[in-house]
Amino acid sequence: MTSDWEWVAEAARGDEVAWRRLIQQHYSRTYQVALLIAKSPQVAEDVAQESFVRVLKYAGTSNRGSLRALLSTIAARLAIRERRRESRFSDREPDEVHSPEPSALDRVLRCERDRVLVEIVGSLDDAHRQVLVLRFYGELSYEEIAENLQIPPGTVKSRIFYAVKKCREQMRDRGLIE
Amino acid sequence: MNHSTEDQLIGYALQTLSEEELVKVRAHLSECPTCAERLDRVKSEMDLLGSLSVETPVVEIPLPKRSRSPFPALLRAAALLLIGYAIGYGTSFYTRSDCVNVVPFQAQVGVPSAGATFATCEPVDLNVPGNAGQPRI
Repeated sequence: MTSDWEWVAEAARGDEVAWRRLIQQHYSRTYQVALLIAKSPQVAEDVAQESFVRVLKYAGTSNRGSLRALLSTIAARLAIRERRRESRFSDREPDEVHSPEPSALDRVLRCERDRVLVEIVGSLDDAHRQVLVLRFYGELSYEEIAENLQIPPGTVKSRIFYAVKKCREQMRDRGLIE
Repeated sequence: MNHSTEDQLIGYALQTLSEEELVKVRAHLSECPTCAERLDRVKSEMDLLGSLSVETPVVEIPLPKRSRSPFPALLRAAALLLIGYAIGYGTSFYTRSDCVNVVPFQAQVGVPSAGATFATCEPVDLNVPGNAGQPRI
């Protein structure tokens, strides 16, 4: 069975089939990671696409870990960078969720509960949100997060603990849990 | 019996507890149905936190075009540099390399206007042997 990295190597050599297969396999998760950090579907789409293009540069290198982890990490980093860039140019949060008009974000969320969840995750600071999203949505292990973000595993654990605790408080305040 | 704290249950569910604390909490959970039930609730809340699902747009990402050149960029730059040097060296055979004679500049000082106190002097002709090294006036 062909591994993810073999598909990457094929795609880097110009194989369209391998490229499409990679996208089919990993796009959804990568997009979701980007969306939860950037809070903008348009930015998430751009970030997800850029993540796939960047991953081709890793073809032929060793010690790459899992492709899923790498794609999620690249997407998270790019999304944070975009978010910071946007906030420098605008006082408004990207895709302000309190607008009476359905935002671009509303159009990709399936229900009110998901909208609240996005708000809750989005209320965390960058460092905590990044770790939470990589763990819960990128499904990276603590070791993978530590390796990819180049921070100690202990820091990853303390950040995820704080992030979950904070989110639970808000989920309770917003009536999602008792 | 001391029940597990909320933080301990979150840490247990997240597997972020230290080894020592993990042993303690695990032992307590095995004999305390109340805390075991609380742990189940914490886990289901975390599942909810990770349950967000979004409509993923259908995308067509074009595969970036590969560079046709078999040479890496650094090799290409080095090759260009060598070619440029070779052209420069080759064309140097066809250019004149005669010496250029530079005529020394000779200054003239006129008669000062009335009231000036410094003396006039003869201009120094630098072409005259023996005058080399004389200050220019």
